[in-house]
Amino acid sequence: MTKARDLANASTALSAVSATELAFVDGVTSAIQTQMDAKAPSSTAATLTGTQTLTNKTIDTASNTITGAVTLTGTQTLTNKTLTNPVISSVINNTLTSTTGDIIYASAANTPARLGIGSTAQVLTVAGGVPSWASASASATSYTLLSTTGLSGSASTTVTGLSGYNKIFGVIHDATTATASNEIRLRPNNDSTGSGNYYWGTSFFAGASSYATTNTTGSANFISQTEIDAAKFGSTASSGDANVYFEIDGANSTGKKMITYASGVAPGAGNAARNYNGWTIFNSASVISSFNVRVTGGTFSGGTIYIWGAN
Amino acid sequence: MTYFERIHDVATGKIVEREYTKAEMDESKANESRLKAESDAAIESENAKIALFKKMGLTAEEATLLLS
Repeated sequence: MTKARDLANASTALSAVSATELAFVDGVTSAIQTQMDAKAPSSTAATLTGTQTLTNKTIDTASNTITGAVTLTGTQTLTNKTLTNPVISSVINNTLTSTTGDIIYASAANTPARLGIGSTAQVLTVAGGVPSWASASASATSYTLLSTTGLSGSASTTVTGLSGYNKIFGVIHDATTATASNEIRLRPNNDSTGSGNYYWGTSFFAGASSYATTNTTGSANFISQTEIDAAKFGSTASSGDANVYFEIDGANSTGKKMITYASGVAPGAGNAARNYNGWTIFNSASVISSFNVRVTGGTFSGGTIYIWGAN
Repeated sequence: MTYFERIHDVATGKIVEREYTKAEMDESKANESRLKAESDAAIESENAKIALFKKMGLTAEEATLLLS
């Protein structure tokens, strides 16, 4: 600063600048104003562009504006702050769920509430507009009549379209046949393969000519069959009507189906009529979609099959 | 005379009839023959018993009770 000192000490001063003031520019290497402009003003809101790292800095509450990405290092505590996008207003306190199995629901708009876990086997229901636990009520089985089909003239009758019903109940009412000693057979899904499908456990009473008195012959079997023996007519063509009922549980499942059935053949001429009383496991992976009733030989001369379905 | 299977589709409500195949007819006819023989044997047996009961001097009511 030899030249500046010389200027300040000159007999004719260039200005009122003192030597001390001139000394302030000691070390300046570039334009001072340009350097000042590059600095943020301290009296107005500061706008920081680009990625900034603020460490132990205080943001002026008068401006509350930070432009650009901000990296907060270390542990931060946000108090009374509002996140506008996305909005997190009132966070649900985890202490609301005090017990294993508790459920949080809204007891009113914007009002979380606790629903304590119910008892074993209880089901979630709604009462008074809010969820609650309640004992499961036994569902009432409601059967729908699906088919009323005459048997007369046919050798067999099949009712199809039974899929979707888990319980099937059927009645063969007043069936008759012109073929003496004829037998009524039942086939779920018209299945007579016998391979993988088992019909077990049946007993029958063989009535004599006057069936109104006592049954003299009995038999009990535990056998595998290819179809269900449901009834047997007497040994004369004028043998009485046969009535059969059958019930299938699990019909719409791909597992085993349980079938119970029983029959009664009205008194008629000739003996050897059989009334069956049995149960069956239909061991098929197919759901039951149809049911077939047939006579072993010849045709039905009368009768009706009724089938109901339920779930 | 051919036999037929009556089919009721509960989904559509339609009832149709399908004629038995030859194999089904053959099986049915064979069963009819078997059932006829079974029936004849049963009737013959019963008639023989009735004849015996008559020879024994039983009334029809008594014979019925024995046959039942």
